[in-house]
Amino acid sequence: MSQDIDIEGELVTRVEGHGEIVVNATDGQLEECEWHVVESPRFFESMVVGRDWDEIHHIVSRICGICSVTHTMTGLKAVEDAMDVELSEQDVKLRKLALAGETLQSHVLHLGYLALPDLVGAKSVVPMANTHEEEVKTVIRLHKLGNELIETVAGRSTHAQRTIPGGFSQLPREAELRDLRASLEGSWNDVETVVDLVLSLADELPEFTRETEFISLTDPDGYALYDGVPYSSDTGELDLADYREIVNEHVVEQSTAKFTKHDRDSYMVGALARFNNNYEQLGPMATAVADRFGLKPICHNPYLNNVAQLVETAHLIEHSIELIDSLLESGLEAQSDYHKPDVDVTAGQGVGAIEAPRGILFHEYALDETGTALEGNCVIPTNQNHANIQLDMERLVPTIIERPQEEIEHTLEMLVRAYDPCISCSTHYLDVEFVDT
Amino acid sequence: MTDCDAVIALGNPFRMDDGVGPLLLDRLRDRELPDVELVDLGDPGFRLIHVLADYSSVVIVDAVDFGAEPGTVEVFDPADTETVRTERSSHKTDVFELLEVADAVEGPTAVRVFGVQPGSIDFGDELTNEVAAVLPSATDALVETIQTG
Repeated sequence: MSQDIDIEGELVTRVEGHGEIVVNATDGQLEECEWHVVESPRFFESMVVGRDWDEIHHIVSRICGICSVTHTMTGLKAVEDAMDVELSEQDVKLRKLALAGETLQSHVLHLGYLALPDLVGAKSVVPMANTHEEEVKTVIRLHKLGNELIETVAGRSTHAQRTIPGGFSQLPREAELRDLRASLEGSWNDVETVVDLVLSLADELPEFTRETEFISLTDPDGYALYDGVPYSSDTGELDLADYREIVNEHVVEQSTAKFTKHDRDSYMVGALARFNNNYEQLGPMATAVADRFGLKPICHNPYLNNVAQLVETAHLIEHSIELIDSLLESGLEAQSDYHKPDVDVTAGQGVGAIEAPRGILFHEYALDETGTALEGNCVIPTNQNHANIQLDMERLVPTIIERPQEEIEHTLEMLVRAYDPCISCSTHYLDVEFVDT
Repeated sequence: MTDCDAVIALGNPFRMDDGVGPLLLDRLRDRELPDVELVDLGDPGFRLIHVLADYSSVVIVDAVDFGAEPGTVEVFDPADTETVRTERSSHKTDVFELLEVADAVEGPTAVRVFGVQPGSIDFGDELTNEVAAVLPSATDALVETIQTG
């Protein structure tokens, strides 16, 4: 029986912005189906103008509380690109280690605190603390492990202090790295617990497929997170210097956040994009996790971004152990605390790209001869996924339009959450209000 | 003697009275509390659960809206806030829900909240006059709370 549907989201102020699902139908005929994004302008690109080259990364770190290390390091890469600053092999490994810690804690936070409640039918993680006590303890341990990794390498888990242009102001001690390694090795049972739980609930992830383009970094030397060049599943390798032509930011009426498109009307970034583009470079434990879910590239079901995050969680632990082994094998080259690398300040323009937990992140800065920023540009992953969410909704809603309104609403909320957008970082669900027309 | 091994301040100093927790924590640094760790966490989200797991008995200092006159101090057990939980936290991630999770899984054995009724949590880096006026007496009350375990 055809029904009338009126779903309209109430804008909720959150740390990372606002999101709203709007679906209206009369007699089963879809009239409106839109993903509305109203992110308050935050003016970071203007804030860096006039600031010095060695403080830009501290400012842009504040763009996000969950992926602050990624913003810090992408800002550093852009400044270092502008001034032709080369990092030592040791410093690159340490940056990769901090980045792995951040992506680990971000994935676990999303999977454990935000996505799992959907799968077990709980409103939030709070009731799960009683119904799934062991699993919640496991999630907390893994989340804490990611944070400890960042703290050890970068000084603190949010807004890294030690990462500076050209390297690090202070290094971790080798004993700390050995302790971390032991904790990482000891975490496999916890990963297994979460994999078992998600696998037992995998049927709750909707079967929905819409072919799209996937963009991520790619790197011949390993599963690309810190290094690499942009890669499209449609068109292959791309030139980082042309990143504006990759993202093609444009303004749409339904959103104060810019949408993006490349080869098609939309593309997807994040764990599933990385998985699809760089599957062959995953570690053996990660591949084993993917096999348990039957996940193979190219997967076009956005709901399985959750599973791709779980696969990457295993990869990040393997990757971190490898990095620590490599650092300890060669021994950390000592440097004094409060070390300041030699950087020849020059005028220039530089671009940096890193795989943030939620996808490829671009920063670009123009600096004058004193190292003062003249211009900044940041393209964040969540913005790059908005158009894909919109087109997913347009394809999905007609296939579920006969279902009860609450089920439609829940399915769409799960879709938005599967992308792990920053807007849902601070709370579990999007508030949705039904309105009469 | 005190069983309290940590005082954890929550709050954003750029939201006026929401910053009363960190300010009171700063004042504690001048007091003789050798066995008590002072931790300023700002607005930590889920990290609060990790930090709580490191202690056995903590006092959380925070702005708490319990409908009293601005500057009023109240010390309470989080479990006693059941009916007014959603109104009681000024932070985006509900502190009391986080405490509930911590209590269920791996939290400290004792958590007390030292709450100060805010007058305003609008943007701004100064306290309202009402809350600023009670800082000395609130500091004394906080020390007493810590020492009485």
